[in-house]
Amino acid sequence: MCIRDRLYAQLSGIRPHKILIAANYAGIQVEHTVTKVNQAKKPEYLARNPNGKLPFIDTPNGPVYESNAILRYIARNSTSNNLYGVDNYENTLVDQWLDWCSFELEPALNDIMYPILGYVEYNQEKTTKGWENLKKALQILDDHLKYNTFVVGHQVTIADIGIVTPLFHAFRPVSYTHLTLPTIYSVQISVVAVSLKKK
Amino acid sequence: LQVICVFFFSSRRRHTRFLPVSWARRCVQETGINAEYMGIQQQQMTNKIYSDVFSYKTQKLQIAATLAGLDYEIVYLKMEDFKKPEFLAKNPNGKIPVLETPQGILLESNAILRYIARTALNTGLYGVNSYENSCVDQWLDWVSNELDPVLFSIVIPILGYTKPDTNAYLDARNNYYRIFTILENHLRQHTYMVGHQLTIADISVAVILVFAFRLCFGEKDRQRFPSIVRHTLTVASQQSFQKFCGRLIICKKEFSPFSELPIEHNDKQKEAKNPKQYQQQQPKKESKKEENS
Repeated sequence: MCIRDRLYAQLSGIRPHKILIAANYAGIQVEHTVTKVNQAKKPEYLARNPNGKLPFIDTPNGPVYESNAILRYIARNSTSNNLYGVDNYENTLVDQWLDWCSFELEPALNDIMYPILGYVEYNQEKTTKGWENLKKALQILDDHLKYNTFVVGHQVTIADIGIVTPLFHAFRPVSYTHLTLPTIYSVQISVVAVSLKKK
Repeated sequence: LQVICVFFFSSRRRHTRFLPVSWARRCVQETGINAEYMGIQQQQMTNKIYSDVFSYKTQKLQIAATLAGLDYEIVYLKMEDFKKPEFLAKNPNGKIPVLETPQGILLESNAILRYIARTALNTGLYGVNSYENSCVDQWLDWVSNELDPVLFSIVIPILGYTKPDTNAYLDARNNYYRIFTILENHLRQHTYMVGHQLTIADISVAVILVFAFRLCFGEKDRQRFPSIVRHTLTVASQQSFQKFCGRLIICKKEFSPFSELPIEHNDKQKEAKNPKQYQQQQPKKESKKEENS
């Protein structure tokens, strides 16, 4: 069976991992062409993503960029799983949590992680604000997960994948034990364990 | 044919085959309690949008809902209401817009836009096929991740909400040209953002560009980006757009940010036209501010 979708992304990172895990869950084969971030501005790649950013995916119908849009594309084209939720309302909840992740969770995580990873100079104000915002965001997530096994519905969706991947990447170098959030850890571990098994 | 007819008529279930009316009546009788419950539910079936008095995100939703034919009520809240526990029970993030549907609560304006578009797939608001759906998603995300921060990094200094900083403003201006060229190049080859009909991607772009047209998209820029002008004018001429966003106001020359202290939101246009007059009035306004707060 020929592989119809070709993903152009970095070797590893939050966004390529999100997409590859989702494709794994969906049973869609995606060919991962490793590209470096500075190669993304080549004219052949700019024709597909004029922003010059990664990742983007080449589908039989055309290119799609923005990692969350690619996640939704994968979820829609999966025949076996309800990765996007069961009905319109659940689809929207998945969208809501994906957007929440990119506007509330990821900026806070980036404020903390980027100085550690060396992308940005250390700025104490930003980092302390980042910790405060992260605490608020994770508290919201924790409260939600007290009454729900999965973020949306009763099975793994791209919302779970989208939220767990940045947390997984962030939890490795930095310790978060001073934030007592037991529910998130248990959900995260279960989702990541399932995804690793599938790989 | 004859063989099939014999088989059909020889089966034992004759009493259920030719009496669809009695079957329906029996269903209604059996589910009498359910019918009453459905009646109660139908009374509460309106969708409610909670929002601030002026928010471009809610305008997006209202336009999409009118185009999709979705009934809704709008509840206007004040800034103090966002921190009250009743509102935080609905949206723990304390932000608007929030859509309350009979099934539950939905947050995040882009997610709600998609919900509205999916309730009326035949209007093509979410694209015609699965690939167009992905393109609409892509452009909605692009608007929130790329266009929104860049445009507001220019508009906010012009409105006077932040301290003036010329270097930051010049950087923002360069970014702004880069983003607008991307949009221009796309719209040169496409009438609408996605496909051949108006989608929620067009609505979200146009509603944000209202700020640009009013404040920072001067005549020179408009000559440089004609496709953006054409696209925004087509969307802004829609009746539903004009109902919620008003007439599109286009500035002759772009406003520049101020070299003085931040000002109140209401006076932004007076300040722009008559900076000297405003400086004289400033002590009076400050005393009014103290009275109001």
